[in-house]
Amino acid sequence: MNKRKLGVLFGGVTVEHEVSVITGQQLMNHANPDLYEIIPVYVDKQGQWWTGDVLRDPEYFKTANLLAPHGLQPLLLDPNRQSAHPFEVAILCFHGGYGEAGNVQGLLELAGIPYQGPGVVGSATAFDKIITRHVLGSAGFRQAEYTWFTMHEFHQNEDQVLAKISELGLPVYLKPANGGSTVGIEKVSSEVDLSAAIARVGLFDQRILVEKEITDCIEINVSVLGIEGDIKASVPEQPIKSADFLSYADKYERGGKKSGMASATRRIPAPISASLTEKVQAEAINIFRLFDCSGVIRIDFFVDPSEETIFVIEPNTIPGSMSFYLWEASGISYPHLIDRLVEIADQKAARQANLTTSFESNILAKKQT
Amino acid sequence: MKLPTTTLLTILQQSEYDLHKTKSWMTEHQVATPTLEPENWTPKLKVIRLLFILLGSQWWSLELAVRLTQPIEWLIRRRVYGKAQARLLQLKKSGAQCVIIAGSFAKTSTKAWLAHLLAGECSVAATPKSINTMLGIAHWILDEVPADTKVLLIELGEYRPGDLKELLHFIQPSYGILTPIGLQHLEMFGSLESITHEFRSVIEWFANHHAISHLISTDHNHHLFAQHFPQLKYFGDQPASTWRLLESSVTKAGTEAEVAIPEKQHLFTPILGAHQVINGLPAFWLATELQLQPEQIKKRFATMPYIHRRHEPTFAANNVLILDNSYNTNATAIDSSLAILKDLKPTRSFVITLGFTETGEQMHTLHHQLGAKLAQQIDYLGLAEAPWSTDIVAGWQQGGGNPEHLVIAPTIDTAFAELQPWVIPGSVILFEGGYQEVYVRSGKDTHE
Repeated sequence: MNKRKLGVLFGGVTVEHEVSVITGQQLMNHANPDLYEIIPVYVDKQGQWWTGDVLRDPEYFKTANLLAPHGLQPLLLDPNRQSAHPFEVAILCFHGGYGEAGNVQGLLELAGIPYQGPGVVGSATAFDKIITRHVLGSAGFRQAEYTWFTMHEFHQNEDQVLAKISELGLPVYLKPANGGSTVGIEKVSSEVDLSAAIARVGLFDQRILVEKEITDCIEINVSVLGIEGDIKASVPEQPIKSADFLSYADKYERGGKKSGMASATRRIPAPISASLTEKVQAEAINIFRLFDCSGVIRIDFFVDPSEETIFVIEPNTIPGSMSFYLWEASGISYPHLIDRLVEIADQKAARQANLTTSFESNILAKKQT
Repeated sequence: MKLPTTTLLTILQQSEYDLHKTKSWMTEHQVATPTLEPENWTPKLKVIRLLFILLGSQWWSLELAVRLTQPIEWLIRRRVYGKAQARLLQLKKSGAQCVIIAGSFAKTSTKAWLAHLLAGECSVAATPKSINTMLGIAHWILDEVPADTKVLLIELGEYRPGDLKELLHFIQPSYGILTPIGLQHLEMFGSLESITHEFRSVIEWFANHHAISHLISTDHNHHLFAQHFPQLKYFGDQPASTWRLLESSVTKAGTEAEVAIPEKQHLFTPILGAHQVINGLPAFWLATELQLQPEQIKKRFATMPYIHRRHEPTFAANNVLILDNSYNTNATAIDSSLAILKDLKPTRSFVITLGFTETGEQMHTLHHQLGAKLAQQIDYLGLAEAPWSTDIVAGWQQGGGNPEHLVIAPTIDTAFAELQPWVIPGSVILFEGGYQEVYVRSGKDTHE
């Protein structure tokens, strides 16, 4: 049986570089070796693309210079569709603006290489927190009250920006519009701290989202897997703050051999009712469709378990660890999740190939005459 | 005397300074002598330690040290009680209602439930942790209860016959809740009859002072009181209950329940176990009595925080769930734990336990039954060594438990360490009981 050449793309010029390396490593280690020939594609911190079998070894990254790695072969991806490409299908494991915001997706579209998705528009839209807010709001999803501004506006008219934030009511969260994970996010509870916090967050982006704090809620994450016509939501998880968890781990590791047992940072399933679970899952699927997603994504919510109200935080189009732990808890093993992602990539490419991309026209001929 | 001083003083404190009980424990633990550390080095304990060492560190030194502290303690207590009663009166004049919670077990859980459920509707103060003696309660009233408190939840402890009557006289409560009465304190009271008699004094107190309608009991106690107190109201899962759990199902997310409060409603709580939902039901009764909104109480079920060491879950890696029910266990409570394990449908089920404490003469029978019960319902058993371990092992064997799935080790921790190679993804590990007596090893304060 011919193995598919599966390109696993990870790294990139982003503050989430290391997290992406972990996601890529996990995925390569769990892909079925009988089905795939893995082609690791590593983008270093300067944006150089590399390949080589050594990239499959997690030990390599413990000592490698991530700005200028050694022992690798440069990799060029030709956007020409007729060219021979180093892999037949790709799974993107990027986190952050370099590979999650539509750029690499665009390159793969040009090259005609199937990948899990979402496409350029879905990736770019969902990556920008301000645009995400507008899209979710226009579709009627409940979310935190928010406002936004640019650093240019702030420098030109600081008082006006501060007044706009005060009107929202403190505490607020300041978020770089294109930031990843929690990097650059600041919580501000006092007006006197606001200007300095804005200056710090402004180091990460020119556009800043300001969100009012939501109270009496717990954070819930749901992963969604599929492609239009066959979309599933995972069991929800509640991420556990590290401080809460460490206290417990400390308690339970007295016996010595328990390390590894108490290493989870999440509650799966989340401690919410079956009815609220169904509501969150339905909402997650609606958001998946709204952003024209495919592949596997994770959507973060705040929920009020008492009132069963749901606030959307944001979709993550390439979730950390591909949210495999949520799919394992939902009955899909990581190897099968990878198979499904490859299947989705092929389905997505096939659907696009069936679209009409040219039609008979004599416009050029007419222009010449 | 071979026991380390700290261990001896820990046992003395845990036995409420009962020299007879301390001596019995010493006799039983002459061979295996774990070093225990007192949970709280109170001034009284420090004074006893000092006197004990100064007097030569013999058994008679301890007896004398305890006796020497008694008159001073009596004087201090009188003064504290008087001041606490005055403060309590002041709080009651401002509209505060005192709700007492008494029973052999589930008192602290019930208190935690009520504190959370009522807190959305009014200001609630509850005695912290398992503080339930008159001195502890008095200090709490004096030092910790805010002036604007509308509901005081007070857990009552019973260590000697007459304790409850004394506490009721001291608190003069408006409302009361009786949790299950069982074999928890056999060593202190000698028989179930004596235990029941002690709790009957609570009902009699309410009957004499207010009305029995100000008291509610779990239906676990129905057979004990139905004949003599037919007007007593119940909560639980039996037909005798007005506030009743009708159906429930437990998953790792929590417990879904159909309840009659008294009208039929659906509830969800993240807390695991039908018995825990039952612990929350008296809140609906209190809501009616105190004219609070039952709808708000129902909603707060969904945000109930986990209760420390009462089936407290840790969601570990590889979908392994650790349930910490180490606070306490007994012959009745183990059934609730096993029901949770069954509902969770683990790939493999583990129980790590010391067994029951305070079982008196029934020690051998109850532990034999425990072993047999565990053999039929779980896959692996880890035992911390105790005088009754052989009874549990015999029960395990008789119940058909796999001998290779049983380990006995010096402590809970080492028992778990030995079982750990058998843990697979999806396993559930239950730590059941034993916390109070054996855990903390401190080491070197050995006294010859």
